[in-house]
Amino acid sequence: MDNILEVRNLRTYYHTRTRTVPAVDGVDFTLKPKEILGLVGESGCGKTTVARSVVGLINRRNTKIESGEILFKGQELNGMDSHRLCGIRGKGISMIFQDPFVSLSPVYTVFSQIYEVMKAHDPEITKAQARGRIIELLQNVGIPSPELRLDDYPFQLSGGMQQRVMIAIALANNPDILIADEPTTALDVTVQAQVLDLLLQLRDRYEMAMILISHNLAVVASICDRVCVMYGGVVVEEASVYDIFDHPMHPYTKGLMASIPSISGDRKEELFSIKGNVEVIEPPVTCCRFCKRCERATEECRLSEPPLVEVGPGHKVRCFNRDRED
Amino acid sequence: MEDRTDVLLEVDHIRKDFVQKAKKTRTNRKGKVTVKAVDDVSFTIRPGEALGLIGESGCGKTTVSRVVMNLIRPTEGKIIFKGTEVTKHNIMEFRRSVQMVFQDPYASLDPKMSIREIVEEPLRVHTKLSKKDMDAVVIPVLERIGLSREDLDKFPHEFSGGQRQRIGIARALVTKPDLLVCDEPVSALDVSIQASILNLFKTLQQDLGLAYLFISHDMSVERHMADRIAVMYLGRIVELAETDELFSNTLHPYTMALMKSIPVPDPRQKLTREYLKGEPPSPISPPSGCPFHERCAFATEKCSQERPEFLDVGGGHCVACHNWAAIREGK
Repeated sequence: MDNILEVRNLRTYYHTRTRTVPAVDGVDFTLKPKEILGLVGESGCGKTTVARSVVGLINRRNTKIESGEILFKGQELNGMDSHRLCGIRGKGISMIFQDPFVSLSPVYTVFSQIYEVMKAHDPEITKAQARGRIIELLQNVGIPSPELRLDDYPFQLSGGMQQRVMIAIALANNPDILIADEPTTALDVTVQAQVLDLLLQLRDRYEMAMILISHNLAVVASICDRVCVMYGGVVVEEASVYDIFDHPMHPYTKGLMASIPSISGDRKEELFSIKGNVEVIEPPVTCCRFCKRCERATEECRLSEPPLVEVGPGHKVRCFNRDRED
Repeated sequence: MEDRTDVLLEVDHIRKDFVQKAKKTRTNRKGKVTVKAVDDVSFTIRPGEALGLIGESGCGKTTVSRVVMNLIRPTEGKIIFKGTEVTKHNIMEFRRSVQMVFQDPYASLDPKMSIREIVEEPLRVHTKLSKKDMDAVVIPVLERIGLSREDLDKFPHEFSGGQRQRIGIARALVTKPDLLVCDEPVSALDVSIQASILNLFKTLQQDLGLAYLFISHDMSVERHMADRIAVMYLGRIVELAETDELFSNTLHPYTMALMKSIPVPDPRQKLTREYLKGEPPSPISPPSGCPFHERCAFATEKCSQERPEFLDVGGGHCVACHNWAAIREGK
């Protein structure tokens, strides 16, 4: 099957007065139709910047896509003029953000916020026509009695309901790709399970592909098909969700998994913790980005950056010592 | 009941109502609504024990921590520490022995104070030590939590989130407390940092004999940290048991649902469809009877009418559910 989205060698740098921060520094990935791709990593690894670069939602004053191709159905999005990009954003690719309370406008009703998105891509649509479609949308995202909720303001809804409204806005124009940036981080666990299940159901109903950005490996495990683990602006490991949880190869992936306290099995006295902190490495990079925190690091790791190597079908790792047992 | 001499902190039937202004209507002439944030909560903490308090947002767990700290006065009930009730006369002594670690390490450290000033501050309040003597107390504490003497004159912005949380812990430890109240201390941290802070809490518990009231919404964190866990729902404790007992022999339907809805880092355990439907009801108008009955899979006629008692069903496992016996049988 053809890829619906291809990102090749994407570099997005933040420029401040004193230095340059390579938030995304050479990221490649592809997305197939109806696939759910997980982007995992800790704060500062560049996962949100990848998403924002794809939809062109970056602050042009201090952020620049230095290089790279972003191919959506074969069209290059990088460098596309903003007018045409607006036609794709919200319709071809739409996005849900982390904190629904901040992302929704407090002064507009649920109806007008969804109607705005519909009208942007279909200027002919009248309020009366939209009303029926919006009620159906709200029903699909699991909002009880949507006719009554339509004219509510966001503050009248709970966090879970607000996130559902956000999802409804993203789905309003039947997108091909939905980018969900930490969609459940601000929600309680019971509501998180509801929203994750909803995303799975919607993927089937709307036949869309999805990029799920999360720092939570468990969330990724429960709904993704394929996973990219990011560290320091690059993908350090990419594999199907089964491979990555069964045979993690990169020391960072392994470390992340070992540091989660488990809910079943033996209660460990001590958790594994990755030493050190995430550090910004300014370009040009001449070492493995993880070498300072890595227990396996050798001289080679400090002298050059390892390439992303395919080690099995669809399983790629960026580590010199990937085969070493320990 | 338990042996009273072996109790560090006893929380005795506390209630906290918050009164809000509301629209005056025919049924509500005073224009006030009462939010029962905490409704008849009791528990004890033994010396050196970590008690976990878990629940969703809005269930009252933070209010419990504030009442325990005496930051707000309970509407009813009392806090008994080492056998004496905490009143305004002995509050200073209590505050020295019970310290707090906050959720957000970015908001809880004053950016204009150096690390020395931050960590010394409790000593300035509670002791009459000279500047030199303070250093002698502060430096070993800093070294214990993983920072060094050189960090004393730095400012919070020079540290990462994990290190800041360590500074927050040092500030709490400097008065040699017996109990730390930790309100979501790791939820703002990344997983790799979270692990090292949890390890630090464990080591402190073993080395200093510290007791914890450990508040979290994360079941796996609680399982790692707590010796006993109390599960809260809508202002009440619905289940309380030893950690292993709670996980192997869950009795309250809410606890079960909570456990089922946690995603597991294993792709073969896909999402179960048995998660909880709906959302927690508003504490302004809680449902009649058992507050959980509207969302409960086991609910019967009785549950909507009668509020279940919080009973000890054996071995210190307490549960507030009419159907606990049937649930235990069903296993």
